[in-house]
Amino acid sequence: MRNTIQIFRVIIVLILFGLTWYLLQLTTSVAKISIKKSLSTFPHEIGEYRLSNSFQSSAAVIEMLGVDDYIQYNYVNDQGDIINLYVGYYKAVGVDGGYHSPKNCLPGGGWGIDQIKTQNLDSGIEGRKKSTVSEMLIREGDSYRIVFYWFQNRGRIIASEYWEKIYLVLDALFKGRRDGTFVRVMSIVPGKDLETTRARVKQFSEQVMVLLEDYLPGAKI
Amino acid sequence: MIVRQPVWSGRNIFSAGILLVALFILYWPFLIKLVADWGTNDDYSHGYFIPALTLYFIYHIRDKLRDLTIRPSFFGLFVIVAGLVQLVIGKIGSEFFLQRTSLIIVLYGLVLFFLGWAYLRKLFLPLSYLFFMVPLPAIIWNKIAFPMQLFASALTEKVVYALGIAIYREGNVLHLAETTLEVVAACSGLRSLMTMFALSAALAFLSSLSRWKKIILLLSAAPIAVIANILRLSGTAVLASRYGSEVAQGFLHEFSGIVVFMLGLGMLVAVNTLLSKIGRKI
Repeated sequence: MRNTIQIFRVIIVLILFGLTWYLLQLTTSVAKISIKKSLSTFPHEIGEYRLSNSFQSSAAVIEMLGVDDYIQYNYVNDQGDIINLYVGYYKAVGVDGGYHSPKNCLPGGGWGIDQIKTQNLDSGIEGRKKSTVSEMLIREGDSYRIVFYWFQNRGRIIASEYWEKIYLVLDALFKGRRDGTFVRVMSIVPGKDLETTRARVKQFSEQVMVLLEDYLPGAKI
Repeated sequence: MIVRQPVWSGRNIFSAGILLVALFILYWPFLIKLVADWGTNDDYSHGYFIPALTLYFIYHIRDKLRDLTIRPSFFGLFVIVAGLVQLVIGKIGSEFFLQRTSLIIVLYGLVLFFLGWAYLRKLFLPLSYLFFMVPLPAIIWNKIAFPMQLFASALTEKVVYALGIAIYREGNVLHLAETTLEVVAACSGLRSLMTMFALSAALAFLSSLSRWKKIILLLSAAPIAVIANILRLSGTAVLASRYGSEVAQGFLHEFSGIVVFMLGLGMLVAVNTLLSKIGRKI
């Protein structure tokens, strides 16, 4: 065998490169999908809860999150129970910014995760009546909080980070969409009354999920 | 008698040049974005050096490559096609990791298709080194680097406390009497972890250590990154308690990256030297 690079092989590869280049020009990558309605108009009253105060994150935090629209509200009811709601919308997840999983950021901020499991809610989106979200019990010293979180993406409620990633790639491929939302509902557990707090957070989450349908792009844009 | 033509003939260099230029044009938009990422992602600021090191590794083994005979393999064509398909899928899905690693797959395929298995065996490690320039998807990166950062923060608390400075830790956030360190870092993983792995892999490739020692050298990157981060944070804490928070924050943001890098490099070289010393006794 002579030590030569064969010309016909060069031509084959150049043709392949050319074809790929052409294909790349034909395909458009995912579109940035704008939110249907700005989250700043999210209701200040949900059930028996009223808005007590809202938080603005610092510019540095916003830039790090790369979030396109978000709210962080504290709601309070007549008994003085406070529920914290965070909703972060991304036009194209992973392109400019991405979710910060509470599985990382809460321990990073000093909260220990005592328990993590899935929780079934009696409400859903896109006409469904049920959904599954993630539930965490977190603790700092003697102070406990219950956290419900889920991804409300392109007409789906997704509890796990991994399924979120899988659906993200699939939807990007077949629908050209990467828009997504991370929703977190959190409440302090007063004393040791876990069950009551869980029931409150659950009911609140069920309402928030449905209300968000008016704001977030669904299965169809 | 068959006269073997030299591999580095003018004609071969010309063909290879055309192929590489075409490859470069095809990947140009993706490479631009990758280089921009190196500038903004602190965990991958070492990216600039990786292609240069790959070229150096190839140069390093040039004599071995010269002795090989070209035996092209058609299997390489499948590898090239697979890599290109990955590129198209990555583009449609805006999945950076797929886009970028497809370049490496195509390079494997090109070596196989034009030069054959003997060349791929020799070039596999230098080409695979290019993986270090591609940022890992966050979902994987966080799984590795985040627990290590928590561990480093926990040890830093002990070190700083032992130095007699009041400190209180919440996860990755260290509170001192004067200042709070690394607030934005609450969600982020161990700094310099990938840089240390890229460095230790380069040392392992170039060193003449035995195989198991090379593996030890490579893996030493993880504890070294942890130690370097503990030193960086402890140093910052000491500065904060002596000279106030301004100095400490300035140090943390301006110099600490370089300090971690120099410390890490020093420790890696030390491990390398140590390993080569041990070898002589056995």
